[in-house]
Amino acid sequence: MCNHNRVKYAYDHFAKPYLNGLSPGCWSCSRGTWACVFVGLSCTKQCFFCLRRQKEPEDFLPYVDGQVRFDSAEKLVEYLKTFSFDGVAFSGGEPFLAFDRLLAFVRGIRSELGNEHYLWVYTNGDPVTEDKLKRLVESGLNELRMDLAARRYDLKPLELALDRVPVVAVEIPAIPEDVEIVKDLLPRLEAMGVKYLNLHQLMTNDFTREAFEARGYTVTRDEIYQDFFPVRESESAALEVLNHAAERNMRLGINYCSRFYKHSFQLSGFRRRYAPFCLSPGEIETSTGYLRSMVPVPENGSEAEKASMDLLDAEGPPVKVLYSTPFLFSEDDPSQGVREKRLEDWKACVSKGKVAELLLENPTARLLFHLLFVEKKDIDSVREEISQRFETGPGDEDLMHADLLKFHRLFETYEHLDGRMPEAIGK
Amino acid sequence: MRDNEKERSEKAAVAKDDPVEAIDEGRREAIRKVGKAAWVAPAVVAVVVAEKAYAQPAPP
Repeated sequence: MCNHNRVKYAYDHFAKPYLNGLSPGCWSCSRGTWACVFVGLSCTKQCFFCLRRQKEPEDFLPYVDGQVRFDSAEKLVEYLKTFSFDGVAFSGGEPFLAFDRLLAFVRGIRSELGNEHYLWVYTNGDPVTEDKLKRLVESGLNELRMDLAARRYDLKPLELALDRVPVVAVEIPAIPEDVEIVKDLLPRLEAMGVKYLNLHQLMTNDFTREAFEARGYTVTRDEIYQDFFPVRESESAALEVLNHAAERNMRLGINYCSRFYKHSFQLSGFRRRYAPFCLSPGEIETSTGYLRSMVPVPENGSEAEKASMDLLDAEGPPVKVLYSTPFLFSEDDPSQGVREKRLEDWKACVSKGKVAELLLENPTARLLFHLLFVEKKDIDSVREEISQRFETGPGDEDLMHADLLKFHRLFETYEHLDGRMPEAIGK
Repeated sequence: MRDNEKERSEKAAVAKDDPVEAIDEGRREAIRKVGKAAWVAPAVVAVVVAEKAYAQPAPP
């Protein structure tokens, strides 16, 4: 956690501390309504922290969400309309190396959808020219995000962009060895007119592992992060920069985008996009985009027994809560499972797979589940309600509260995003 | 008619003493069934957790 009272947290969630505001693009991401379009994978650099192979296959098509591919600007526009996005980012590789495609996408979005989307481009600055910036801005680009770390904090491309693009931001990984460089840069960035500095947490995967090991970074190997594990020292670096800026009353908008935040908010948006295609009768979509169904145990009871399942009935049977996640696979790869929906315009298929079964064994578990996740009451209200409803002796209130928090923790990933950060974060 | 009024006034009296009068009558009764006992910790068994089996998009 940051130790300065000027630092705020997006959604009261410790995973996204910020100072002086966030870019509209960041807010779009937090709502799960942004599309990150990978327009090309080639790059002019080979940064040690890059998560991608900087080489583009011959049959490459721009994509979002790993599997949804576009062979034209029209298909991208159709996709944006279908899923109600309000922000679109263009990434890569180095997007300016696929400039014609990038420009066609920006023009297509603006001509078909007007100004309802916030559009931004990431770049390392290498191929940026005055002419390219002019054409992009004339076509409707809102923001340029420059990775200064890719050019060892060379400010020249930034200077070129500042007079030409409505919003210029700097987005860099929080590299522990570079903390002092970044701190020293802050007044300069502010004076130049940079609006935001986004510090994101370094992640390790197959492409970065060796370099990170050589630097001695500590990696959090929690399986929730799949193959993109966060680097702890990177978080400390980002928070140090934030605190430094807060103590000096800087006006620059600075935020720290943690791996945990990405995991929680970006994936929630991903699931919510595709969950409606997978809903079966009796299933509901939770606010984090998981699909939830409930069955009494034993499951071989009659349909009438299943239909009359009442979580508040103390005499009722145990109840099994099942969660599934939607996922995508390429239409070229039918081995992935049952296809719920074919997204034919975008060469992808949607399916779903079970991720968890949690058995509510006793009446208390069923009651708490009902109050927290069916009625969607906040923890404090439920705490008050059960305190009044159960007989308690000295010390029991604390025990009851601890039980409630523990129970909530079991389900919060699947049910909502109001949870707090893991203890390891922000110390 | 008088019986109905009596019933209503009895219910009102109960509601007045009830710390959770905001919740509806059916639920109040249901919770009462559970809640009259001493607190028993919720029992939950996590049977399967297998999210890793399904590919998620790489973080941008």
